[in-house]
Amino acid sequence: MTDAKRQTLFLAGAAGLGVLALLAGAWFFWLSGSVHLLFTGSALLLVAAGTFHWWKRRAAVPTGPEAPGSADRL
Amino acid sequence: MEYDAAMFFASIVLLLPVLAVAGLVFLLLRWLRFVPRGRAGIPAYGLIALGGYALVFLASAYQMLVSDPAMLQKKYLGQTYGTPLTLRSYEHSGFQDPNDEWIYRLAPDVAAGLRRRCLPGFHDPGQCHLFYGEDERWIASAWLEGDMLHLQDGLH
Repeated sequence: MTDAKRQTLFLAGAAGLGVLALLAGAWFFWLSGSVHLLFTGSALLLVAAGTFHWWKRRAAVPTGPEAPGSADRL
Repeated sequence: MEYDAAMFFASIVLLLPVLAVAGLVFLLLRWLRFVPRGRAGIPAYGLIALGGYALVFLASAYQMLVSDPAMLQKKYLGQTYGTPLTLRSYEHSGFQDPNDEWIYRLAPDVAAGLRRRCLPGFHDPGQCHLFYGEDERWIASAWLEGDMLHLQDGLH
């Protein structure tokens, strides 16, 4: 398995945990009216996973003169 | 509100253990190459710490909404009548003397079966008491109001 695939698995796991925690937090809120910290934590987890993924993709795409097609653009 | 305060306090107490365990998990995942090396690994550490908090609070929600009430029903009523799917309300109150109340909507035939076990000596209109117990520190009760099963357990 490549490192990229491993890291995608890691991010998918974090996002999955965030979704699970959000669902449990919603159930808890429906039952008790209390905002369980799951809401805050899991929302942060989801946002962080998304941001991290975007940042890694951005870092992986070459944007300089070595980028494919950059000669055509010039 | 008491619950929110208790959870906020717990989250502060748990901060150092969560950060420490997240550090170990981070090192393991970096060694297994699930997280990148270098600067890109820093957000991964944050993700792991947040995931640790999510796991802690998932476990506490499971305990409060599923395992504790099931265990108390078995202890006080002899059987688990209310399930997570029939749970309609949960309330946690008190800080040093915590008290929990769960309310379940039972199927009409299950409630009718339980109504045959009403305890004598309680004269609250519309209520059928199924269990009552207390000592100098602990207090618990279970009663039916219509098809709603109320379960209370706490300290006083």
